[in-house]
Amino acid sequence: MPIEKIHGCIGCENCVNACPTDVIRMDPGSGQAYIAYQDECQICHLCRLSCPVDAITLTPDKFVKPTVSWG
Amino acid sequence: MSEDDSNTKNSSGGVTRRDILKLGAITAATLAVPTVLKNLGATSMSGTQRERYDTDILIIGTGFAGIFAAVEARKNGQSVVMLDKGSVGWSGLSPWASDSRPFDPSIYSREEWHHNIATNTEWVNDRKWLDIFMDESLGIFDILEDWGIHDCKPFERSKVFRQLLLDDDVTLVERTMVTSFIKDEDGKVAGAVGFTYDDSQDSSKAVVVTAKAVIMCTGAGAYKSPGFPNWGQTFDGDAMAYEAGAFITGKEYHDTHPTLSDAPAASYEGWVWAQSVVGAYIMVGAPDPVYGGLNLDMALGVAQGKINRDPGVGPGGEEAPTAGAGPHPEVVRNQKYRGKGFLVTPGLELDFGGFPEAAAKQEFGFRVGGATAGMGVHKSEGVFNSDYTCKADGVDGLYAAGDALGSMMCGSSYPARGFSSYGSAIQGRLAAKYASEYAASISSLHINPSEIDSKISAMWAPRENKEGFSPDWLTKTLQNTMTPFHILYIKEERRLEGALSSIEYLRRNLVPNMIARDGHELRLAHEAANMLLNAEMKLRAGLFRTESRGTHFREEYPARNDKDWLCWVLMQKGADGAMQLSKHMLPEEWWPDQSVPYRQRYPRQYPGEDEYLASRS
Repeated sequence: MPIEKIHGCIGCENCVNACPTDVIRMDPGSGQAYIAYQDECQICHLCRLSCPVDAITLTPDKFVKPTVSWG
Repeated sequence: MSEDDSNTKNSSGGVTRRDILKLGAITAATLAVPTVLKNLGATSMSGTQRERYDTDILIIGTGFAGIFAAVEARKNGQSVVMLDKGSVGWSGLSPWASDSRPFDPSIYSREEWHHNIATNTEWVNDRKWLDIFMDESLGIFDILEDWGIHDCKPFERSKVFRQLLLDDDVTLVERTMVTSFIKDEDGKVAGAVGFTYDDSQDSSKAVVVTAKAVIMCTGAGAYKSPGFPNWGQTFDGDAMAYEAGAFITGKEYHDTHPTLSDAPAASYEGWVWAQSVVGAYIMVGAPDPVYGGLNLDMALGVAQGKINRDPGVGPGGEEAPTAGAGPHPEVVRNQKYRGKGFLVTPGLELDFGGFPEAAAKQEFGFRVGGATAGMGVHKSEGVFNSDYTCKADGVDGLYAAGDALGSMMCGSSYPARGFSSYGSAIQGRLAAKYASEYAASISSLHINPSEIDSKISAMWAPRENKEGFSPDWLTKTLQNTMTPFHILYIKEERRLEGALSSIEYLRRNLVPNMIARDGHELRLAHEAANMLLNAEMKLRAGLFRTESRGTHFREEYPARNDKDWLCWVLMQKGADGAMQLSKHMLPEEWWPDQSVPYRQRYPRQYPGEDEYLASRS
């Protein structure tokens, strides 16, 4: 897994703007960031580096969905 | 009816063999483009809200090129709207800018830089662009110093850049994917359309910007390859410019960053590795004529010995330094800029964190090639301009800068670290100078409303398609076709033709049938289409250049051919829609001295090169 969890978000949206691949979105209900499209994470760490409260955890491994013939 | 027919009828539930044959033909035709996946989010986009902007200059991309372009355009009194797929300072490769190499004429020799870079990039670099770089790079250093960028903590530059632009009354439209240029009634580029992909709170909106001039600062691209932070870059600018009639160049060459075998997707780990190199800030010394840079053996990673860097003799006949013998004398010549730069500043300690387990392991395995699969050479691929105004050859109203401009400043391989962000800044400023002059000459725009409607309609198509193919699947198929070394780096005619056939099929039959269930997938769909167009360009350029040079290696032509190929390869969309390729020959005064022995002109050696040359002599 690349971006693994966001814990303790204060809702500043820095990570949403820093992510180059639209992995993170804001939840309008909670006002906190959540992982919306984990597949697209490129493990670049810009979200983590932009987070003022160190709320984001990443791992170096990436899961890739298998390819099928038609899809 | 024969017994056979009867049996067939029975075993087929009442259908004759003839019927089966007939059915087979129909099924084959139907299956030519089988659409299997249903678009669970299919919806009509015809009533979607449009957000409209009118401006003098539209700048697409807010990295180094775009920021410098915007500041220059505002200085010239032009109104500016900036669109970006991400946000200021965070998108593209700009957040990763780590090195710069300002040319200080009081220390360096201009002739030496010219000679070394021409040798390293194998004589197809644009020397006038290099002169412009040498003229202006020190000024860029001073501007960044003035803006306080050198005093920023790592990754905090974006705040400074954003405030700078807002203070300058630049309109920022971010997190917006641009899909097409708008043309006026004379066929000149006069704006762009795009959409907001973040539909988690509000539905996606169409964004329409009309402008007297457009500057593309859209960066480069890759096939979403692992281990390099370039997934946001998918050749969007190239693709739009090509469709608008611009010439594109530099596609046969490669960036060759490696990644790590045990965690190949972990971009950040690769960059920690890069940033740990001493001197990952202001580079010192002239680029080396043979060593350093991103050559083909970097792509191969562990395949040392396959493509040699001849350690014997340098291009001028001098002894080249041997590996491990300490820094090249050039590297220690200048201490003037030590301690200044993007990542390391006096009094600021680097603290990147990272993976604790990585620190414990010390490494993530071997270095392997392909971290930037699909990416070209910084400053050497993209929109072609022949008169140093940054204007796109082939279409009016369009300008390009940075990695979106195929300036060929770095020729056939990236010669050394430190050219990219400063080169982007210089070109952004220059593009804005000429775009401002052009915009000032236009009194009013005449755009047919149907032009905007048709571009928007095409943009929404994957959201409206009810069944088809997912952009994720197309991207994976593209990666599997293009990324292997025997297609991308070690080229041969039949293999390239095979890959081209597959890519053409995907472009013709599947791209029009892509589906997107939300704004995020719509972005992915357009990105996949742009990457596939680039793949066709890359394969065609690779087939066209029947020699080897720099990072372009053809197995059956494993040597340079100065007589025929001291040129740039240009691509343009023909009137019939097919890709047209042509040569743009380099001025003869830039050619290497043909009386200099071949191995001194070209110190790097391809596999099979000596035998090939011997067989032809």
